[in-house]
Amino acid sequence: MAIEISFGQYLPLNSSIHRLDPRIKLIATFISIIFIFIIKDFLGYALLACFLLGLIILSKVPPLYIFRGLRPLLFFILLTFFLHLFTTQGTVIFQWWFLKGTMEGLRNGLLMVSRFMLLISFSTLLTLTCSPLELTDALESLLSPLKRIGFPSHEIAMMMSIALRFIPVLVEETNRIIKAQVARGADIESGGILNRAKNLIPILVPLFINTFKRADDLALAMEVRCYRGGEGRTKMKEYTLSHRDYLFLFISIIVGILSVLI
Amino acid sequence: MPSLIELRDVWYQYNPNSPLSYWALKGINLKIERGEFISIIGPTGSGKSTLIQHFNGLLKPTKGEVIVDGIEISKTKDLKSIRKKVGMVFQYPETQIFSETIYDELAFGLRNYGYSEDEIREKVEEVTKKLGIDYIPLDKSPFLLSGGEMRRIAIASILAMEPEVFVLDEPLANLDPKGRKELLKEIDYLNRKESLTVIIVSHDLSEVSRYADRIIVLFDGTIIMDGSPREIFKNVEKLLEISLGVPQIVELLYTLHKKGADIPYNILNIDEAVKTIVKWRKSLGNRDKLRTISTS
Amino acid sequence: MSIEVKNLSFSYEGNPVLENITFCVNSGEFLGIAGPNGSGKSTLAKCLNGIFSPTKGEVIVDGISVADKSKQWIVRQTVGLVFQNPDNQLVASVVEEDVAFGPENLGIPPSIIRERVQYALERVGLINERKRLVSTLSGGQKQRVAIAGILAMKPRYIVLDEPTSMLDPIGRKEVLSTVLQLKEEGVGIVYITHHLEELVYADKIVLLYGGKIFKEGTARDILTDEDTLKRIGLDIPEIPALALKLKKLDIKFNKIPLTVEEMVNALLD
Repeated sequence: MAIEISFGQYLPLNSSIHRLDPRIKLIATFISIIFIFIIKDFLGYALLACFLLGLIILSKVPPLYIFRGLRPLLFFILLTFFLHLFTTQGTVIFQWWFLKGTMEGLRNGLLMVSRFMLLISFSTLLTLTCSPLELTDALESLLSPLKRIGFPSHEIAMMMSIALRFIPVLVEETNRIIKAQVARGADIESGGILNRAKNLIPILVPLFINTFKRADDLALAMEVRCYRGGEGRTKMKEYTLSHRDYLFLFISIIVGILSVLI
Repeated sequence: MPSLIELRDVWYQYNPNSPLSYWALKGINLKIERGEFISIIGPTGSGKSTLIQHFNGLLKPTKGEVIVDGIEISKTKDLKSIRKKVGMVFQYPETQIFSETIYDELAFGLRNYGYSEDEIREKVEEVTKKLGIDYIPLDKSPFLLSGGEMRRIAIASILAMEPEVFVLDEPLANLDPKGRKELLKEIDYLNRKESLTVIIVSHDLSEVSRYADRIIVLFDGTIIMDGSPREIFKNVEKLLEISLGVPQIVELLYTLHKKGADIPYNILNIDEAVKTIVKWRKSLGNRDKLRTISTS
Repeated sequence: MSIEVKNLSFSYEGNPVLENITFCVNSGEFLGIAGPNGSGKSTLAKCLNGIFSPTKGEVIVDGISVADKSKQWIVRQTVGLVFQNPDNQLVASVVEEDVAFGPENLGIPPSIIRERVQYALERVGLINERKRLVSTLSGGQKQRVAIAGILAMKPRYIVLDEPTSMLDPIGRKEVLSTVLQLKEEGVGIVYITHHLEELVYADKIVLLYGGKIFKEGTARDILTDEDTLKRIGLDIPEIPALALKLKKLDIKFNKIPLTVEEMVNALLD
């Protein structure tokens, strides 16, 4: 009944990965994701997985956190696997009722699963080691060249940062409202699709109303603290790239290329 | 007849098998009888909210048994009927309001339990009288009401289901003194006149202790005190140590006691404090007089 | 140096909310404002830093009228506002990042922002929590982060609108003692509440009722005036209530005690 969420959660630790420049981490994650899509065989994925494992160890993040990031998507991952297993044409290795599992299907399925798991793990590691503000600072800084053509990079970054800040608050609030309505005899898990949608009204309506109220309060609090958009704003954190940052980016690219070539 | 609610060695763990796991309840034994007015007190994080969610099966114990009116909640399939018996009002209940009219909001629970529209109308009208909100037209939108009125509507929506026990989590939070007093009086009335069992959760002893006939103090997932307000106030030192709001008059008499005054400090209201202090001053006066006589 | 409120009236969508309010807060002074719900307390708070402009009369902050929009940022920096709900006023996820938000908006150089954040977090006793996630803090800690976020802008006055109404007793104590310490350091405090026990250390109290000043005076004047408080639906704190009853029974006090400590001293004298 309760919703758990690990994506977008920052784990403040003091590690060499945490200390890396967030821009570099963001770029390196993007690069890894691109390579994940290019790679087409297991050896490449294995190499990337080893790289990921190394990073997790260096980051001091308990591996369980990465797993928690995967868990909500487990159903989706399994579904993809079985879809590939049963829909790919090729040598039949087993048959169950009208479903035929093929060798090629097994291979494709496992590749897709590896791809998903790596994708999610890399991005989870990014959000666990960068605070939302660092992440959005990095995004804003990387997008800033686009400002000249009128792209609202500051506004987008600010919106993202606030969204991430309020994820835990909203998750807690949703759980509380669900419990409150269940305590009033509401059924939220039974009935057909139409009924279920109707059953969501007592949860979604208060959630929207409370969220608007929060947004109102927050806007006022920001105004009181002299927020007036990105113009003339400074940042507490100054990001300067060190040798370690360049080294990390270099290693990431090399590992990526190696895993494609292997 | 079995107790209304009984907990036998109840343990509850959040986030089992995760780096964030912790025990919120550690071996709770508790019996709640019909007609009691209980206040569950404890600092933030002591497990109060976790505890009350066991009363209606929103949470099930990791270890131990919760028995509501003879039915064990971990074994029954029919939690819905337990949730009707145990009416639960969450913190800031006005934030769960969703209906277009006050009537629909009050009827929501009753509709979930399949009452006929005639019965619902009757019960809705009755509950608005009980909580002193019958002056508000029922076809009005609940969102146009004041904060205090919205709180009452939300509380009434639970009460309309005619629970046997009424559990309220911090029902007074954020209300002004007048609103707090009125609400407490109405809940007290329901307890005395309609023999509704009431459980109020709070982190402040000062207000609720005037009405509750039993106080349960929770600390770090265990019950550290359970008794009448007068018994509880004997342990003022401990209450102050764990930063619970203690009535100032109790704190005052306790401080005087510590400084050598031979007075009780487990008092319940200002009049008792007045009597205690006057009596103590008189005894001091007599002693002073005796001393003057003996020295002269 | 002061916030001067002169004959302030404010209407919202044609309905009068505040009528003819006059008072003054100096830096280093603690002014309490109390009144039941709906008495216009929160609206008054928003008038003090120009979020709302007076419909009639004026509010002058260190010589600047809050109605002067060209100076609105100076006014907002001078008069900081802390609200009731600790969750809804923190912008960033990490403590120090949130505290930096105000100074960043003011365009202050990064090295000075870091100094200010350090200073502000030390003031509220949260320097060791600077890297923590806001979502893991207690209510009282969150509220102190909010105060630090205002302090980092170096305001001369802080207006707190029911800052403790959503906190537990520990949180209340934390916030109140932080506020009292800031007063000692010369910050002017406007503290809005309906918990009158929190105002025993106030230099002045203004009672608001139906948008008008019902009565004003020293803490001792106001907190011992049982009839007035009752008439506007507020509770006299327990200690003065007890003292008044004892006085009727011929126990004499030089001045009616307001706190447990004062009462103990008076009785043991």
